[in-house]
Amino acid sequence: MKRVFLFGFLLLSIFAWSQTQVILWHSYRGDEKAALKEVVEAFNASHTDIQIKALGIPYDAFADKITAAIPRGKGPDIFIYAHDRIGGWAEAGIIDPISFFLEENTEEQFVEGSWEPMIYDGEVYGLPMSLKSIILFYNPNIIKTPPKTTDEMIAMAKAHTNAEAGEYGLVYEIANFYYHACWLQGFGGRVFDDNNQPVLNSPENIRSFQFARDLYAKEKIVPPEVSNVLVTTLFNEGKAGMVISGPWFRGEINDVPYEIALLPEISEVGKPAIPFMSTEGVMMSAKSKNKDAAYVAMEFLVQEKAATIMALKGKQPVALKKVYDNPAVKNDKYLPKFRAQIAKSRPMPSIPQMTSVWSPASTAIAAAVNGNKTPEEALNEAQRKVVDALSKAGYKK
Amino acid sequence: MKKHFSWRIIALALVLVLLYLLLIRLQSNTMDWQNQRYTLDMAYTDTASLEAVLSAHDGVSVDTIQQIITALQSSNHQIQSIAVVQGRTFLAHSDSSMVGARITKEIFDIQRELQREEALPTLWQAPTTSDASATLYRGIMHNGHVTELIVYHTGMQQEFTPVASRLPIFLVLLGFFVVALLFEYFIPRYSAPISLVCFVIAVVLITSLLNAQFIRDYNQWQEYLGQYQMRLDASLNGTGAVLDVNIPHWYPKITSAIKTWNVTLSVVFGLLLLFILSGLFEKSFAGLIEYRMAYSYVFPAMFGVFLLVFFPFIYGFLIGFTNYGLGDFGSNLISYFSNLGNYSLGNFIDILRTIDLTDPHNFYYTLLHTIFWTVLNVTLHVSIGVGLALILNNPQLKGRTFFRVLLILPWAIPNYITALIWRGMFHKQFGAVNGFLELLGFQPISWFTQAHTAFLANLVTNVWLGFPFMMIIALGALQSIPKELYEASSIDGSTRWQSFWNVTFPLLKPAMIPAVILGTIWTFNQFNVIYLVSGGGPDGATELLITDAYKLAFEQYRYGYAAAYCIIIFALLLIYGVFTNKVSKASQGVYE
Repeated sequence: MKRVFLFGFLLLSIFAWSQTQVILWHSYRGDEKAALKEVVEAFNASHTDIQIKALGIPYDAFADKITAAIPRGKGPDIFIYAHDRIGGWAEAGIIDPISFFLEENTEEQFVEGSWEPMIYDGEVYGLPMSLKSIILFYNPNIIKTPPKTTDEMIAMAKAHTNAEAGEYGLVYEIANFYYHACWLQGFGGRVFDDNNQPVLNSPENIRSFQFARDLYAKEKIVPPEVSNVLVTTLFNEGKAGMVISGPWFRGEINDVPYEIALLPEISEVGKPAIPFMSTEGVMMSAKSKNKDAAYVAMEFLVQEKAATIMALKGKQPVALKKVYDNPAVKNDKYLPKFRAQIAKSRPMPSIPQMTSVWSPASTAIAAAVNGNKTPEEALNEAQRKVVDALSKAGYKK
Repeated sequence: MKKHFSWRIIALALVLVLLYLLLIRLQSNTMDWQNQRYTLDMAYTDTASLEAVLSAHDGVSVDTIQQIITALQSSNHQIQSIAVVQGRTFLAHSDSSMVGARITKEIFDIQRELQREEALPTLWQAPTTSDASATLYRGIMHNGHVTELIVYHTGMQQEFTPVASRLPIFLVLLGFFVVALLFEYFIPRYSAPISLVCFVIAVVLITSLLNAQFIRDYNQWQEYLGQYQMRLDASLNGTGAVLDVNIPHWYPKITSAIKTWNVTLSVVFGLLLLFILSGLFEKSFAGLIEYRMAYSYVFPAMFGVFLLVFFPFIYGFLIGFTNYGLGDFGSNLISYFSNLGNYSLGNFIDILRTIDLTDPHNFYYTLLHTIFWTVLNVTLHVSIGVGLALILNNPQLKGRTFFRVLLILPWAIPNYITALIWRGMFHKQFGAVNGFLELLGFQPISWFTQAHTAFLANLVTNVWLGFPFMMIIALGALQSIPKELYEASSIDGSTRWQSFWNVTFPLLKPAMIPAVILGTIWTFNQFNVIYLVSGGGPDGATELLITDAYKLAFEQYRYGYAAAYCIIIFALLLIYGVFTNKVSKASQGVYE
């Protein structure tokens, strides 16, 4: 009997060994993680020769882990991440282009604007899975109809702000450059110009910084020292009227009614706020040993079956067009609105130089909002720092 | 005499084997790169089956492609495969050994690699057997005419046979070894200098052997190139446009790479040989054998210390002299470190050059802030710690154990968690500290938006975290002070203060001074509190040197610059440690 077991076990292990294993790294939490798990299980059930093994890595350390692990051969075969690092990783030889594996009409299957961020230097480096941009969340018990312009937004927020009681009309990470970008781009500002040179201290950028400072200091509708934990806590306690956050925020809301609306039009310039859009895609490691199997896995993750699960269960605004024809998705309260906001967003710059921008830019917006520096001073300082860092960084280009 | 003889020879033999292996590794590194590209497994021998091997011809006519193939082929170079990419670039591959070709994916990879012009091979192996070679052609076409052709040739070897192909080098090393052996045996007195001279000659010989190979291949290349130019001119250039044939200018790169390697290897092995031949090696070796039991107990810990302490230290030290940054992560580490051109003092000059005490990002501002932070913190730690220890030392204090446990708690809880809690408490709107202040009737303070309040927040947190350590040390030292001294001093009529100053304090010193040194070094590098509580303060105003280095390394990816920063921190602390140790004679006992 023992021998039978042993033999059977050996047989199984040989069988398992003969399967190709594709290792997938992701940084999902909550609903997105559960949905991904379901997708992976569906894949493993339908493919006997390839198995995906998914591993969750915390978001803060994810990019660094990829940068460190893959060149040493220790990383995953495929991983899911936003598009903004594609440039840097492509230059460093960490990800491989998948142009070779692509079929003719792959590009058409995806929502407009989701394909370009996956391209760097003429080569395609990933398949888009979902599109993310920030949007306006509001508590329908506090705010009856969402604001269409920023003047309306400020008025509504003021009416519901009571600093003593800790209630604020508008709660968002005001001192975080990623969130501020919606105002920056709405005012007509940019991070890089057409020659990929940083233009952080352009007049439009300065105006947008002044706008943020006014939201905090003049109108006083935003609480001080906002961290993402504070945003979640205040909203869940019903003390935040409006929140500006992304689709991930849905997973953090507990039992509080919420609605979403497009970001308002900026009254000062009459143009809508344009947030950063990040395309989250699945990319292939350059050091993967099973590139063919890895691509099969990648393709599964973005096609209809998986995308529908990610959309409905993971609450992700997926990039596959066909999913939006699905009646369950059409009738979903939120997904079509996300798609509408994405149409009004602009992809985050994905050139390698962007990596050097985050830290000085966030310091600048924090200084401007807190009043330590005027917007002009803060941006001039940031521009100086970025130019300095870029000239010293070891870029090959 | 005999024993002396055998250890040296074994050591010499080890050195030579190492040297030889390194040279092979050096060569085979580059071989791997080449072999990856040219894995072949499908045969193609005649132009009739051209259609079958084309991956895509993207609008270019089959006629043109046949012309290209005819032009590039010669009696011993059959075109194995050709692919046209985006109608403009073609890649063709020939291999004289007539092994098959797997096209498409490999050629796509090659195309991508070739687009990064700098990633050309820095060393490659010349063909050693007569016809085992492969050639890659990359051409740019315009309107059906070839306007540019780049030719890559490499000696491809399916199997790498180290001894046979390295025979000359191996013989040279063997010869050196034999000569050294003979001198050692017959004339031991002069063996050391003679061995060194032999070594130098060996290195020179090896260098010139390697160089000769490359010169030979380069000349062969020039010849091939001339032939291709003529043939392509004749067959394809109908419009009379000038055909530009490029040869990659890697030759100077190869020679400089060889020079770098030779210099590095010579220095390393020269030093090693000196060490061996001067007799130091056998002394330490003899000691190792005599105390082998003790060493075997210590070895696991030594190994761990080496791996976790020395290796990262040396690595960081080396990086500090380079400009290792975001663009270098994909590159081969060994080639990066052995390239002497990467090293310079640039980082140190950058850091130390400007003195601007108004700019929080300036090194000297951060240095002064760190020193001020350290002095203030350690003073407070010691005063509060010693004060509390004096109180707790009273055996008649009720609930003494309870208080002791309570006062150690700040130190016992992981300071990461504590720092985050304190940060929450200092929040302007919802923090406990401001709530308390409001209760007392004061205005709430925005702690983290101004430099001096952020500094205060950090200070409070760190003092809260740090005094238990000093307290414990002081408590231990106090309990070792014999009571007779106190009795004697009270008999002599001294006041409490005098007995503290003359009895307690001198006997506390030997225990406290090492604690103070330790505390200083820890506080100087107190990363957790600064990073987690004020995050470096409003725009870098409360940064320490260590948090600045962290942000440079992991937010701006300027590894080299940050490593240089850390070397400076280390130098400062080392000087401090040695200096205070000498001045305070802390290592001496109190009764000496």
